[in-house]
Amino acid sequence: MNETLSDQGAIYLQIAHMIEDDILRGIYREEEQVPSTNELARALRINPATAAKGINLLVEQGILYKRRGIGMFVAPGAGQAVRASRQAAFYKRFVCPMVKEAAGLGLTVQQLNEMVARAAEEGKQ
Amino acid sequence: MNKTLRYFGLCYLQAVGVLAAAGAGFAVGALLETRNSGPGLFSTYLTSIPFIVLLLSLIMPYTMSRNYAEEALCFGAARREIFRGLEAATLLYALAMLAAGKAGDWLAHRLLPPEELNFIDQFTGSLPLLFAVLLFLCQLGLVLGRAKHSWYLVAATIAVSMATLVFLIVALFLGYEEPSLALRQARPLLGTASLVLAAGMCFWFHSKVARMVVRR
Amino acid sequence: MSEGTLKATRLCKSYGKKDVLRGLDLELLPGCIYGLIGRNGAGKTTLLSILTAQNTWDEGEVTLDGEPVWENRHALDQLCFARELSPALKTGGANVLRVKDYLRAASIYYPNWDAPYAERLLKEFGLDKERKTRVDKLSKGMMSMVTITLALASRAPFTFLDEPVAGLDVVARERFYQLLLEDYGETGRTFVVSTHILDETNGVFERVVILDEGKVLENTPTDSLLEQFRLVDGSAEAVEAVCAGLKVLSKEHLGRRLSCVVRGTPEKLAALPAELDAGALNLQKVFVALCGHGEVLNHE
Repeated sequence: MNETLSDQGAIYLQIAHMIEDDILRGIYREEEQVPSTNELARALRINPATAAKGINLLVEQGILYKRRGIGMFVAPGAGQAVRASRQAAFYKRFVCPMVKEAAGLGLTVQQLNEMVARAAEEGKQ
Repeated sequence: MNKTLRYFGLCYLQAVGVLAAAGAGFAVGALLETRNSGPGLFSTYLTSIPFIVLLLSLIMPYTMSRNYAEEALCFGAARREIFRGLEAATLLYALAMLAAGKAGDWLAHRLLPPEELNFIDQFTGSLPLLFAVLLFLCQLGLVLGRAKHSWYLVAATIAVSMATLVFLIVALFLGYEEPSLALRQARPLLGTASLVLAAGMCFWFHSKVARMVVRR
Repeated sequence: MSEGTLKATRLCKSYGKKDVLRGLDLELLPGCIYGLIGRNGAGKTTLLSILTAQNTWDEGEVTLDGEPVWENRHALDQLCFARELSPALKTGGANVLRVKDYLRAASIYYPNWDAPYAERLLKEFGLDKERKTRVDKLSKGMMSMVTITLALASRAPFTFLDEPVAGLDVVARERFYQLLLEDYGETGRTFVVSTHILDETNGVFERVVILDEGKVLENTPTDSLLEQFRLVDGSAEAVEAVCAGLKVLSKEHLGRRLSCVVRGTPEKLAALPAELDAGALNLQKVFVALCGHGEVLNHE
């Protein structure tokens, strides 16, 4: 298994997540071809069936679609779809733990908001 | 079937090679005895070496066959095939041994004066056949994986081999100068008894084997 | 390439008083890489040898495509069991066969034997010069590599490997899994790899069969299995509360802190609060959680 994958948890989910990340970062734009199952399997050194499962998950979610005889392509609107689902998960995955951690450290909501604003400023530079 | 014969063919070719070496040893020993014009310790040893080589040529196919048979099973050979392969090869080997023994016997009778004939012809009788058959039965038991039966057979083979070896060595020293009448008379009896024993065991085990393979 | 299904039904096998397989049921689908995992003494080798008709069994049956495998030439031609080479024979005495004898036997007995492939593998493993070496003179690593060569080059529709990575170092292990995946990519044949070294494996095994106490505990896609387990970690009260609806497999207390391995459906696990969710487990940890009960030393 390649170093970019973790041996914890389902691998096909990690593959789907990886491709979604690449779509978000603009590495694959809409209507562009993504690596085939075999290419993925070879590069990541995993079972092609697992790679296929990851890709099929994205097909089911409408992120990718198949062009017969050619390969897998990023579906139109995929970028937005991924962004939307990630935004929905963002609250639970990042915001809630951050708020709990801050509360645990004795930071007030105001202090937390100030930190968020400061980070946003630093990010712009 | 072809596969197994091909597979075991090499194994038995090696064993027959040892047999040829034994035969050659016999001839050399016998020749040297005639040249020496009289028995001596040196020529005794020379004629006993072929005996030892011959015994080795009995043990070798046994160990090799066991090895080959186990590995054949690991490669997915059906037991039926292994048995038939072992059977055919072992019978051929027994015949080869018999022929070699007879040839050695004939040679010894040609070259040595009658009073110096020791128990060489003991060997040319039924004993090689007995060993070969017992070998075959051991192989069957082992390949089947019925450990209980195979250990009885291994024990029987070892017992018979040891007994014969002891008998031969004793006879060699006792009977070399003057073969006793009792021993001379016992020879045909020994031969017949071992043939009957071998045939009986063969028949019994073969019928058991057939049942075990067909079941399932 | 594989057509039929290999099926074992209600298999029972005991060695003397010891019951090794107790009514085991297993169905192996064609064209899949299986990981067969279990503790020492769980019966992995016994199971594999029975599936390939190399060992007798007490009850039950093994069929390939509905036909019994026992003494069935057609079935045996499709099976390859590359067991660990041993320096001694099962029946006593030393194994005096040489590497080239094994190659010769393989070319005789495996109908799909790929000799050029075997040559490439031998060269890669550095065993080209060891052809004339007797098996009992090979190192453990070399014996493993011979086994791997025989298994891969057999090109048999159903190939079973018993502990192929025992005796191999990390680099060689990774290479083995690469070779396995390459071969699978080319032929799509069924592989069953029994092992108890589980790092680097969940990317390779599409399905995993867990053997425990003579029975199949799990026979499921690896990913599906891993999705059902999670480590929960935090204060004892919080963790206990959250684990109420889940199956708890192990508990570890450290002062007031509690760590649990839990099992549940992916939906239930997704509902775990993020600060208690310590992450998914890898196959090794899942295996220990499922089979880590009983004595520490399980004898073969």
